[in-house]
Amino acid sequence: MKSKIFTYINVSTQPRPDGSMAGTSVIVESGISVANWPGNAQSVALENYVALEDATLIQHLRNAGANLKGRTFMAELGLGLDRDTCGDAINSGLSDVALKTDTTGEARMAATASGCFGFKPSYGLISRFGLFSLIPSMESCGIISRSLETISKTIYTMAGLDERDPSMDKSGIDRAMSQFNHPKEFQDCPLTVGLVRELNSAMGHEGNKEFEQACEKLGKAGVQIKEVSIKDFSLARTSHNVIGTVEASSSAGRFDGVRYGHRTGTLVKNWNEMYIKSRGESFGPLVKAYLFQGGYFQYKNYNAFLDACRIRASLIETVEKAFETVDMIILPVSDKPCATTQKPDTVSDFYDVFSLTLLANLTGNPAISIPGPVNDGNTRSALQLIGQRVDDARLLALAARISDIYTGEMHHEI
Amino acid sequence: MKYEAVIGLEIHIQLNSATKMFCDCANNPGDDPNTNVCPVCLWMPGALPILSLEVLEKAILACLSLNCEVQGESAFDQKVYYYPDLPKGFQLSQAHKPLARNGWVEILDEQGNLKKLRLHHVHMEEDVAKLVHEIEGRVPISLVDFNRAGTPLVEVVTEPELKSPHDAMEFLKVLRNQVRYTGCAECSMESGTMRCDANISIRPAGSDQLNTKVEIKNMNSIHHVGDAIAYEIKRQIDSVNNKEPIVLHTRLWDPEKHVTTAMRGKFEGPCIPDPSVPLIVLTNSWLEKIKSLLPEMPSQKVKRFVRDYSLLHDEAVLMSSERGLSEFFESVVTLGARARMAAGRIATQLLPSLKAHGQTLANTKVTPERFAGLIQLLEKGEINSSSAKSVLEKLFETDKTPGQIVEQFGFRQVSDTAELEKIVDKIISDNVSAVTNYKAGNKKSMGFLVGQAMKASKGKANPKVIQEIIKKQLA
Repeated sequence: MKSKIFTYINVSTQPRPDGSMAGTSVIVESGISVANWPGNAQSVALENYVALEDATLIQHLRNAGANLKGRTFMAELGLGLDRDTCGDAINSGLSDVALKTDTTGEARMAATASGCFGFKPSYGLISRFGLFSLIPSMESCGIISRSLETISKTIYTMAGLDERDPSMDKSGIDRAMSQFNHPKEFQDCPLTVGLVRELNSAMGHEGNKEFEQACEKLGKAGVQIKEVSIKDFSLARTSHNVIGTVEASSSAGRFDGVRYGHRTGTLVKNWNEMYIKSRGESFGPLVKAYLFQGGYFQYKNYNAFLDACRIRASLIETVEKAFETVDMIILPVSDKPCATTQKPDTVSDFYDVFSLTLLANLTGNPAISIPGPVNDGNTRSALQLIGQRVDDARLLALAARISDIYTGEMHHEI
Repeated sequence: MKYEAVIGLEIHIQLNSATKMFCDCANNPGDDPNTNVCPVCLWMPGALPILSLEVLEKAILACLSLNCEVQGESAFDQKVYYYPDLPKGFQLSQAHKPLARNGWVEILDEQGNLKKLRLHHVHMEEDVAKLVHEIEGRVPISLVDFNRAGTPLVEVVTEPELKSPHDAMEFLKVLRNQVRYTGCAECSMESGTMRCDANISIRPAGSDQLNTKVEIKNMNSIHHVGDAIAYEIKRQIDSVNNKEPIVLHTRLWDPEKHVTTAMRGKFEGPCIPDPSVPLIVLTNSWLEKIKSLLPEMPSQKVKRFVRDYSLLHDEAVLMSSERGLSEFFESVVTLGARARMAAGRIATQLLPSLKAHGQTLANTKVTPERFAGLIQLLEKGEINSSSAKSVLEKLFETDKTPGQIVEQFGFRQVSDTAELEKIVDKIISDNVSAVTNYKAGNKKSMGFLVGQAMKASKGKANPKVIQEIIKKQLA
């Protein structure tokens, strides 16, 4: 019988019995390479594609004894959460951890929908070698789990300098890793969280009541809430949209049917026709729309791309500045309650869903979603915390404290 | 109306690094098809480009040899277009932040005056794969060889200030020599390690407007570049005279028919910053270290050879034309040979002999030590000029020293007057008419008589002594 959750179940390799990840089961999204596993990223463009090598982070997990269970359903090429089943796998007790590339907020959003924690590490902390999302400058291996300790342990295992990933910075990684060894430092310190002044105007309405209540609760528990200004906050979505589509258009260029993946079966007269037919048959409607927009900015409106890059640079700067006065920035994960699956028809629908998670992808900061209570209609709210670059361990430790207050339970000690 | 040409060149130079630009595959495009490939240069999902330090160093040396300002910051862009020889829908190149700007080289113009030609910039880019079209069968197929995909190139872009086919050819020769000197590239248009595209437009002589240009490709020798440019200038002038508009497009040079033919509209795809290859930031100290690796350039060497070794300008130019040759020459001189004689013998005898033996200075038995020994024997008068040629031949064949060769094969010059007088006496009595002519004032007859005497001595006589004896005898 075909699984409704798994697209591939690993029965061929047994985990090592020892190591820090022994006994922890991990499911791996198809956009992360695992040697000899099918890796089509749910796209016809990569039909029958099997990776030759492990992603570096998979190699680390193997060495630490993690039980690599298999692959779950995902949206085509990791764009959004259509048909995604990684949360179901965790909720059904089939896995402790799900790995999901996060370029727009996918890991945090999928976690929220299934009541898990979802973590997006700092850009460059975990090697990108073997990851193939559409947006390289924003991609990060997201980790979804019910347990913050497990998330912390998983990141610590996967992180580290990799000579095959040119985007990594040794001094930042060293700093991040040393923090993981001293988590107790963050347990009792006073806590200040930053509330983005421009949040309501960016969402275009008076405010999100549940989010405000959650912040009040934190304030009563002794957390200092402080307003911070992130000048171009409302432009983050546009900036992500322009840069994301442009990078996607280039990244998908390799899916041309020449060396691997799908090539049209119809007779063609020349190269161009082969490309047009093969690629036309390869991608679904959302990916196509996304690539078209990128092509538009590449060919017809390069200045919009330059503007988007300037906005991104300014966001990185103002977010950095905000951390001079606060320990982390707090945001809702979503303006609207999260449903378990979303099937956006247009790029605009897609960005509606991820409008509040994409900031951390643009700036490269670590971010975590903390699941809240289930609302009416079986939806769920969640808080999102954004930490300083490479302060991933600290963010996780502080997230445990915030989560305890937010949900009223003692969660964990990291 | 009189027209003048405005010419700009774009030259691609293949660097000879051990590996490709962004992966560890061997940089040997000529190997069996698709043997030098890996997930990175085939752009499998998840592969990331890692810029080779050796490629960067060699690219910078090439820039320095062309007097460029190497930029403290440069970056790779994606040149987007779709073609099966390009394995990822874009070519990694440097469009917005090139490695170096503002270089120049000096050439001699048609009047023999020095002329400075400026370079706009030099950037790095990866080469593309090679397509092989099989059109013989029932269904034509095209095959792709990815050995060349990702191999390193630098592209040199000149300012549009070349005026003639002469300028272009001289420019390419100087460029080739200077880059070759660094040892970073072979720079052979014939073997495709240097490729040149020319952008040509015309305008009324003396004006400063820049008109629509036409791009020409597919020239695979420096002479073809000159021929193609000459053809294209004439074609454009004819077009304008016939009131036909010049449109922006690309033409291919046909080396057999000696014409250019229209290929396609010139394609300008978008160039966007690549998100995976990091910004290249050069520290001053590192750049200084690379600068210290730059060898003396040919033009400096010419000046020094004239100054230190008293070579004539043309001799110095020849001895500096290739780095290996210049180093050979200097070694020979350092080992004690007289500079001008060494330069002359290298040019007129050694280089032709090497060519005849199919050897190069790098792989021949004729080392600077042995060649210097030969020159010294000549200088001391122990052998004469014609024996020197024979000794040189023997140097190719055996490992013996020139002195041993002279002894073994009896090439020693005979300067003993008594011995030579006997030979001269016989020549004079055997060639009565030549003697009569000489006495009647025909100077050429002397040459004939000396030649006869040399022949009689089996080439071993000292020609100067022979001449003196003949003069004395016939006085």
